[in-house]
Amino acid sequence: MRIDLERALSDIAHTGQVAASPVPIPRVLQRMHRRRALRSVALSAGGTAAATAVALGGALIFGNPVTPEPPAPPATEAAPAPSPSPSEAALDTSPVPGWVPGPAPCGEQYAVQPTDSLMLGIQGGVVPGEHSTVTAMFSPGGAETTVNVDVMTTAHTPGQAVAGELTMVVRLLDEDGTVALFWPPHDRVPGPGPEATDGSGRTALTTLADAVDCRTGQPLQGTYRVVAESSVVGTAEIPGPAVPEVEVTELAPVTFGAPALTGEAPTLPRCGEPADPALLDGTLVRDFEVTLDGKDPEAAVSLGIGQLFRLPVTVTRTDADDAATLSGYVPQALRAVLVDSSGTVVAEPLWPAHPTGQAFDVAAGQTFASGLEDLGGGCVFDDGRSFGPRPGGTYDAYVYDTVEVTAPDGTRSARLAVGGPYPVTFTD
Amino acid sequence: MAAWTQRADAAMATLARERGKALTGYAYLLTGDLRDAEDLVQDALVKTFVRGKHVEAGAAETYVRRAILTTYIDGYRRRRRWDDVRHLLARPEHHEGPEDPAARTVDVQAALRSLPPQQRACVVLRFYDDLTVPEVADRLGLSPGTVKRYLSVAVHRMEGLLGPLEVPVHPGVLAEDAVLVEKVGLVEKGDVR
Repeated sequence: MRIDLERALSDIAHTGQVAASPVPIPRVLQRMHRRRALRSVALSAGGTAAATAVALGGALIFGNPVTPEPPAPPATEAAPAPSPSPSEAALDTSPVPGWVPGPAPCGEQYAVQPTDSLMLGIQGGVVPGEHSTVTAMFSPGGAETTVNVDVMTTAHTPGQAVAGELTMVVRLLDEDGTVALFWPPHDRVPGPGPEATDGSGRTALTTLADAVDCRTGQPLQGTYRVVAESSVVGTAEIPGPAVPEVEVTELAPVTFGAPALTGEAPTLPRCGEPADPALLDGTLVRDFEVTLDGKDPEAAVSLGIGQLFRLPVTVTRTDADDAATLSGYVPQALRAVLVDSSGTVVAEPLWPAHPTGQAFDVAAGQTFASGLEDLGGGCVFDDGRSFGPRPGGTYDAYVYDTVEVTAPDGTRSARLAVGGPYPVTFTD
Repeated sequence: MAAWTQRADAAMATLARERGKALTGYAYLLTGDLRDAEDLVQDALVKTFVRGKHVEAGAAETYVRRAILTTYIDGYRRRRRWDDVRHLLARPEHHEGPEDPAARTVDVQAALRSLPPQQRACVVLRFYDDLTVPEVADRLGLSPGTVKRYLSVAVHRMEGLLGPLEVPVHPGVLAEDAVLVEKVGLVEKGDVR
């Protein structure tokens, strides 16, 4: 008698299904949160770019009840990003045999017209890297066969409710201003309207895509401008603006084949570990000093746990190498950690901020402006332990982040930006 | 927490709650060990949803099943190293699944467990997931020829333990299966369905 292999396999799977315990969802969530936190450190050390000189709109008062301020700096307030530089390698513009060019707007000219909506903001960026089919994880750098599109539409003012049906599109433009790749392939992000009213005010376009030119199928090479466009409009089902409210922001350009970072990337504080004593006593050597604008350093700021905010900061170059100017792209926001009275890091941000499309070029002692948005969400560990800022508790916030810079000789490195301490009291 | 992370967390929780046991059953086919299967499902859920990548509700389970497979294959080398030393430990490492009333199923399970992981994965993808040989090759990052060889060797081995197997051959993949059939003589031409 023959054994029906297909039936036997189904029986085995059914046997396992019946006997299986329910998935421990809290534990899986903890592992996800921990992995995100670890990943933010890795990304910072290896990855995205850095600082700048941009005037952030809006006054900011740290020490008074926190008033939400506009998020990312309007693209119209600073010098535009430099044009993409053509790759040194000869670009192969011939189509891959059998390649079918993508639909519009692939291959179309796109005139960048930054538009600053009073309702919407855009943050995020595009990072080249590799997607492992084995681990299902994306890693920056490597063969750069994949791009991670990580762009969010936010409320113009953190915490502000935004309602309506949202559309987002992110375009990569070559040096001629022609669309070489765009996302999403359709023009609508599913279901963002209601989500944008949940108080977070954020809707994400996060996807992985092959790093190939939509016109030719050839691998992307060189530098491309990244332009994100969001619009929101009311519909019969979702109340919102009667006419589309549009935000167009140029994000940091993406370079395929960029030289690797030189030197050792600064190590960021880790959740649950003692903070560096040099950070606590103010002797930590830093390349950039970060100060909160208009803030009395001694006055505690009052925040709700999880409250969205943006505080403008000034970043001053303080390293000893005053012979050369350093250039880069202004961070959309700098990260900070929270330290409790015992000197333990109790919260670290989950994600590094991407740079803006605004370039900076600073000599020693010169400054640029950025912002602080995230004090972290607490610590969660694989073994189930978790802790973080508690209502009524007062903690010290230290701005602690890396800024990617390029020296005149073209070498790239990650520099340390530090500020604080700034006392923070959580109200609920 | 940003909206996209909340969305990813919620999607993971929904899938785990509604399809977690079915996913564990699938993983159990690969691992042959219930506890390993449960761990494998958790790993796959973390890998699929940690990035917050937008996953359509209907496709989420497919992504997780793929992650189960790739994570299982990824652990092959580590398991090989572990297998080299595990006999030095006293505690049993195998956690049997539940009592199965069908002795034949138990036999098939034992035969499946006797296969090296990549051969086992080929058998599961080909005869449980109903993928064609090229699809199996694509999923595992192998050449179609290698997949055919693995399937041939695996089925030979299982037949040696179980006796003749009835292996489904689908019209749409007749070309690939014909090679397999010819090599191992699994079914007669009249058995093609």
